[in-house]
Amino acid sequence: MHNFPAGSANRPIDWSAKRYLIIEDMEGVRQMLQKLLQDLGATLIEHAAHGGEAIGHLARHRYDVVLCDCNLGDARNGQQVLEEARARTLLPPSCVWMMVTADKSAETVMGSAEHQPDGYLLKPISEAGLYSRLARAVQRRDVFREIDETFMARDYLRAAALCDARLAAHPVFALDLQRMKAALLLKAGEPAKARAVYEEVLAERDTSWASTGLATIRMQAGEVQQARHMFEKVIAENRYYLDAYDQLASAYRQLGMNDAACEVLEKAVQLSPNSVPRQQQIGDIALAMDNLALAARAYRKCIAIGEYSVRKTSAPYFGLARVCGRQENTAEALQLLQAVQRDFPDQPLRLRGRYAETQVFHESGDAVRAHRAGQELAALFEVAAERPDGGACIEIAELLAAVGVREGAAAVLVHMVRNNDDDSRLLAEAQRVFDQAQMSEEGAQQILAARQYAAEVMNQGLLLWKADRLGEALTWTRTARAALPGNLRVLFNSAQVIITHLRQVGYEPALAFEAREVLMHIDSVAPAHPRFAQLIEQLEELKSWSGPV
Amino acid sequence: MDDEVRMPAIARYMTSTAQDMKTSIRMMYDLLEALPPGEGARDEPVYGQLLHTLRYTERLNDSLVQWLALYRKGGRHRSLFAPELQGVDVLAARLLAEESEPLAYAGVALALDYDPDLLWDYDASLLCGVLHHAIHNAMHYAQGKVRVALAQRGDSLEVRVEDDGPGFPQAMLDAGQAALSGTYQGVNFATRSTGLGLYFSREAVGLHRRFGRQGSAHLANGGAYGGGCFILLLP
Repeated sequence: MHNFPAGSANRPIDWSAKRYLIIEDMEGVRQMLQKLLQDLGATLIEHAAHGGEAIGHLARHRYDVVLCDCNLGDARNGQQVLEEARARTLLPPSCVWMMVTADKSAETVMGSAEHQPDGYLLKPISEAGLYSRLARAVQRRDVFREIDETFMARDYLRAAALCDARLAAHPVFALDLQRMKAALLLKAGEPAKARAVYEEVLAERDTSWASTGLATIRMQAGEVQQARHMFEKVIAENRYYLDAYDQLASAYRQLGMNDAACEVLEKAVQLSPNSVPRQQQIGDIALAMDNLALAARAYRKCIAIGEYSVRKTSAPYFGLARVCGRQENTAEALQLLQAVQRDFPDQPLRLRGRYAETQVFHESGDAVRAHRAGQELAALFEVAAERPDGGACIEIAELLAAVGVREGAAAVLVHMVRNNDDDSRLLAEAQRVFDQAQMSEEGAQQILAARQYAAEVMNQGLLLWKADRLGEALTWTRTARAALPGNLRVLFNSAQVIITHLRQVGYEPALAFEAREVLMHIDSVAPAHPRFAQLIEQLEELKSWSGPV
Repeated sequence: MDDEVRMPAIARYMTSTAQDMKTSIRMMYDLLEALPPGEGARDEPVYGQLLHTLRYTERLNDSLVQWLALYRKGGRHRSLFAPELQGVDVLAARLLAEESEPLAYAGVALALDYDPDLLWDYDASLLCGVLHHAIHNAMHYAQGKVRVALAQRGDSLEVRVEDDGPGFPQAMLDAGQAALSGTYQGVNFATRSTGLGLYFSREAVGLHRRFGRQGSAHLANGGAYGGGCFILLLP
């Protein structure tokens, strides 16, 4: 066993106590990697020759270190094996995943930051190079372990505080910690604080991720033009920083420059051809521009690269069906919509499928079948398990109005207003759809009634809360959530009531679980809400003590 | 940064030659790898020798890959430049592991001098490649000692490769100065190709940038052993 200096380690790493998996299709390289690991002192080393075998190993054992070749000569490449392992939570939080590649251009094949491995090893690998890369990755995992666990529990504020606490002791990971902290603050709905972190980093060094982070915050604050110039500068200085391309495309779209947005995404695709979300975005922009050829190409590519990826989604099928509809190729469109129901049997897609079908008939000019499909869509909306968000409801209502199912459209809008009664933009959109359906006056009345209904439900809860009748308030949270399942204020107040109850009567796992479910639902439908971050922090704090205060 | 690297004709020639070398080494490497493992073959002493040979071809291939990558930046290949905030001891450890054995074989002692707490932003693999050439150059002229020193100087990291040889002749220092200032025109095969080595080194360390400042490479005489000094300054 070689005795390397400890690097920047705080304590030496015991390589012999770790379990290793080598995923590599070439026998010779596998031998080399095994020899290199044995030289470090490793004894527990297992092999897999392809993705399927690797997933089997990962499902059976918990590995500390995985060395995985990017190209496995199989259906799945190394990146897809990593994504599948993460998606199926086969990797313990401390597991270090190193990607082995003969060509560092493979690094750009990766998607967004969360899908990156812990590092890359360039083939052929030198012993000292392997050791220093591996040591750094293991130390980094160690420093980040608690932060990652807290992040997984979505306690973003506490995770950000943990980053702060580690900064002084681990200067070597200062940049990683600050990058993580800024990302957490964004998730916690604290853009001003995240901005301060990026600015602090940028005062020390010009870093692509910090510039892009800062520009993204400025873009969201409405400074789109300034943000656009910052993204362009990042790309000019570092053409491999792909996040900046995606953000720049978003800035171009907001500035109404769809052509430029497509162009910048196409450039990103040249550097990294295997990103499902990026192809999807090209398709969506092209569709908005009515560039059907480009949209079709992007959606087809999206379906093809999604084939062996856990990130495969139904979205490109719907996009492509819409393209076919516009090209009056109804038969292929309907085939695609059938395929999507067959290929994604576990997902609630019936409503979306019916919507897409109605749209295909409508856009291909088949008014009779569009009307009939619209009626089925309206009926399904009443009973389907899927709960589309406010924007999607507006689209459904718009389509229903267009195919002459006016009462169905009104019902969808009433549902939407009840669940988004304080969102003035959506309320204006609802009125616009009523206007289009020539239901202006009737619509205004229905909007008002729906808002009054929501306000009444809210008031009942508030009165019980103010009167300190927490037991009844608890009952209210359940009926209110059943009546207004998508209303954020109802959801937030429900979580607040349960947490206050737990604080007064002591921690009850079943109630804590209920509050957690409510909060998780909020974070998925309305991410980066500061009230979410505060409530989940309170809930997590309650775990640590059992009696009332 | 601008991806279109302006390349003198000689550098283009060297690059394509290096590409051929890399390809042939790759073929050898693949051939060695493809040798059938066979029953009990791994117990033969020749297998150990093969592994040893494989390591050395790997090293050379690795180094060539680094240089070539620098000159393919305009194409679809990603630049290998990947700086990381890390201790200078990481670089020291890699140099010690990779260089001390061949130096010892040539009867030259390698000394490393560094502050283990000093952190810097640098690409360890790239610097290993640059220093590999500098150390081997120093080895040829050294009487018995080569020293690598890593220290902060002002707001730069100074990396020095010093030997106890006679030092660089004036012509080399001049060629070095020409390479440094970008007026390098080509290589004089009648003397030595130090100018070219320095030119490549300058390109590699020049990728390290911070607020408009950029890494640089220098030649000098003197240092701890009074011989030749190859000096890198990283912002």
